[in-house]
Amino acid sequence: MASVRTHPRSPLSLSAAVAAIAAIVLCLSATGTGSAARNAAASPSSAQAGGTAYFAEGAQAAPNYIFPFMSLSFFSVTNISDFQQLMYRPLYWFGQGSQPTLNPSISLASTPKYSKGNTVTTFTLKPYKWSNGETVTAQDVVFWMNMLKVEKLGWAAYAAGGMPDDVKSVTTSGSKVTITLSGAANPLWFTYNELSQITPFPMAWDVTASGQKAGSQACGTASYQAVTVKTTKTAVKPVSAAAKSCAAVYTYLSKSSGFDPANPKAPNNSLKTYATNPLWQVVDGPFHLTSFNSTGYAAYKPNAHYSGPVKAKLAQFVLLPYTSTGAEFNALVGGKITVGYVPPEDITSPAVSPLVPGKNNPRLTNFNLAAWYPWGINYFPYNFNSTGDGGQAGKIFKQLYFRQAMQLLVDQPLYLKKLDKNYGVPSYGPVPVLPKNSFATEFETTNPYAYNPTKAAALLKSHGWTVDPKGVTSCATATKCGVPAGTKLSFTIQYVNNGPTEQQLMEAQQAAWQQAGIKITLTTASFDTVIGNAVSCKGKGCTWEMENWGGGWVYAPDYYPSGEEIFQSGAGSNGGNYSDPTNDKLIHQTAFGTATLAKYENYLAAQLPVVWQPNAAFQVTEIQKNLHGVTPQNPLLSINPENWFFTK
Amino acid sequence: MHEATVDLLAPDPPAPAGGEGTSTGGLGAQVLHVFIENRLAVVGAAVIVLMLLFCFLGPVFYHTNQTSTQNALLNSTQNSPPSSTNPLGTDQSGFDILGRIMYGGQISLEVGFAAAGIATVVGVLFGAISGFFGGWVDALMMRIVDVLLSVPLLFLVIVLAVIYHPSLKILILVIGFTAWLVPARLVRGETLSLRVREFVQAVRVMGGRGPRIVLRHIIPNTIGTIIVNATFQVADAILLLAALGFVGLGVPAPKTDWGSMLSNGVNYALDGYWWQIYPAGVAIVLVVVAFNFVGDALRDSFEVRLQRR
Repeated sequence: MASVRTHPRSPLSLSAAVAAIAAIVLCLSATGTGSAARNAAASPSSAQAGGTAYFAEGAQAAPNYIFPFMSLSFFSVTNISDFQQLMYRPLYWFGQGSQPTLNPSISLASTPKYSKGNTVTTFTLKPYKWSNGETVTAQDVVFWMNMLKVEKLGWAAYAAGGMPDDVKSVTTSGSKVTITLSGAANPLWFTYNELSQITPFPMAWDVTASGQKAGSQACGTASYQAVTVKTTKTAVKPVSAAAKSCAAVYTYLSKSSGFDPANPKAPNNSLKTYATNPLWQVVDGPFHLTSFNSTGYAAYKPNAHYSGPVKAKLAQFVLLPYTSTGAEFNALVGGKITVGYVPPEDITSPAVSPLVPGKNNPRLTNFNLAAWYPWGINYFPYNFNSTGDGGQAGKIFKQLYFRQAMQLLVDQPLYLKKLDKNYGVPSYGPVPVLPKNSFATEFETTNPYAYNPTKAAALLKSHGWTVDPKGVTSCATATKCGVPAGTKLSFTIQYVNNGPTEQQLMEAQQAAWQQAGIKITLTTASFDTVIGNAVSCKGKGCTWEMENWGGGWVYAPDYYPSGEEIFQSGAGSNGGNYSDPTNDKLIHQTAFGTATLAKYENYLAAQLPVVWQPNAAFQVTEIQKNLHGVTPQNPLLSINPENWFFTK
Repeated sequence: MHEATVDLLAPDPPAPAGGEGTSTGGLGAQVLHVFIENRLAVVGAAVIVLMLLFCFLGPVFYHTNQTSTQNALLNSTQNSPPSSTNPLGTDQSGFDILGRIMYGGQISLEVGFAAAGIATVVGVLFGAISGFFGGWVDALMMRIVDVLLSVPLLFLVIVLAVIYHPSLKILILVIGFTAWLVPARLVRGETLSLRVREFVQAVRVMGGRGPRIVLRHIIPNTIGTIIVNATFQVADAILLLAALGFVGLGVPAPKTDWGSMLSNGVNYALDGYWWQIYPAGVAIVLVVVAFNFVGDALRDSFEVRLQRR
């Protein structure tokens, strides 16, 4: 199973967006996969309330952050989709069945309306309640907006020019929220890539110490206009009292979640308090946390005050952590998991094609199989600021010919066939190719850098390197290499070794790169460690070279894959510090203008800002046969256990 | 001319006191004589020699790709059962397991011998110095040994292997520098008895100093203990490496060792790929048992030598 960071957002032209949604809806309607396609169609008459569903977390990918406002270090599917969203609902929910589209029925607000030349958007909060009995109000939305205004650099989904930079004002009237923008926006883009970021905060979180009265700080109660900040290139300084209050509240909530903004590398000592801290018990989602420990074990019970249309039927929902895919598989076979996954190494019958699964493992007769594909891409980043390799790593990564040589040695079709058993598709650029869509261009899908060791070696030679397949390639001609003579192509990749398949993939790539004398040393760490390391940095301590958390990126809930969150200069989730003015311009044209994705997409497919990797199924899900409501699975990787129920 | 005559009817002369004064040759001959009388030891030695030939000369005659996972995936069938092409089948990446046993065996044996060598050298020097000088030096040095012995070895090795990312050299050093405690104690014990012997006193009288006495007179007289212990050290180092490999701290890819092979095989054990487990397991057991047989026999040999002196 791949574990994936979550997602970016970006603008979108109306026509393109409509076409995009239509294309995805049409394509996904044909993507029900495997026996689990029947899973949702159980007879309601045989449904029974109660029971405990045990859901397997990704191996070595335990949740470790509860506050739903986080930096890149914690921005993962595990934290957001599997853990937080069960308790704290986003303003808008995305994913309808197997389609990555807006789901109005379980969103907290009405579908937004746009007016005044698309410079104003309004929406009305539905009558949802927090678990402490308070109403989810328009001011709760403003609370989040105020926080974003002050702490946008601490929000992984922030990209320059997007929210809050393009928001002029936010006002409320009863349950109605009005957002005025600094310029005209594409309505669909704003809904899908901007409003989708918002998670209303309860007033109980407007505190800076335990025991304080809910809403006692100004961040939750102040108007958006009252929060003023001074923005420089590298920092946002609060100016008004309300803004300073937001900074203090952010610090308190972050610390209560285990992250100290003043000491980002400090260990998370708050994990054990997640289920007991009253802060986190104020929820508006269908579940509340009853137990949690630092291994990632999390138990939930239904939130009796949940106001959504579907109330949980399960008596309890439990997330189970595993240190390896093998351990998960053993637990699955042993009947300890209700919804889990069969690791690639234990798939006994390869898929006929990504959407046509093979037979289930004969040891899993009590389960239905359903491949779960994310609306995403798989890659791992270079650190363009790296001071590794004798201070030259970042400079080497900035050489396009080097990135081309690296990519020419990644044999994605081979890995998909031999390691992922055909449950996956290649990633050759920034736009996903599955679910099938009209965005992916021919240039990207036909692989601009097909596996070719000879070409890779020739490319390095032509740029002044002495290629040594049995040793380490070194620079002979500095003017051609772009780095000092004698510099060696020797790097370290830290990856998540959560099972044999990931290890084989990395070892195969290591051997492939060695064919051009690119010496790769592999080290391993947990998922949380790797994503914690793969963050933007600069200076002497910025030594990491490449970090591979194994899952790339899922465009969720901002499904339009314009990539500004991960590839735009300075973006919150651009951990490798990739920066290219042409790329920034193309993203801007795509996001804020009427340009299609093609130019941007083809440019990045050629420029290789990252190492593209095979995009295996997020997981090949195994669902116990007497559990229903699990499928179709959301391609944005959220789960809705409130829909799940057992039958006799 | 007087001619010497032999009276064949004369009675045999009395046997010398203390038994027959038969020629027994030198120390090596005595040890070898007793050693080859022990059939298990001979089998053990044969297994070790065969395994060395198998691992180090085998690849000369049996060519397989053991270094490139990329090529293995590209050119081989994964998880293939034993066949005429792959006598012991292939593993999850498509590596030929017979070739991999040879390749992994090289690492296991290299680590075994090298780590045992380090442990023996360090342990012998430490023990001899401690025992010879005695007093507070002995007390201090032995307390260090006691403290280190109180730390579970596997735990200590795992911690060190995690800190110093595993490589062949690092594993040799980590295992070697954690396994010297037993030879240190053994040699220290022998040194305590040797240092008061006449030949040591004689060297002192002739002006011999500590280092010379330890290196030229004490240590050579503990050679029996050292050799016996060294054989067990090799076996223990191979087992320790196997344990490290099993928990994922073996030599990094593309290298492998028998423990890592066993660990990888276990992932597939329940899928019926038995050929990924048994060969590596059998190789470990064979070699470790063989070294233990040899060690036992050497101990007996040296003891017999002492009895006959």
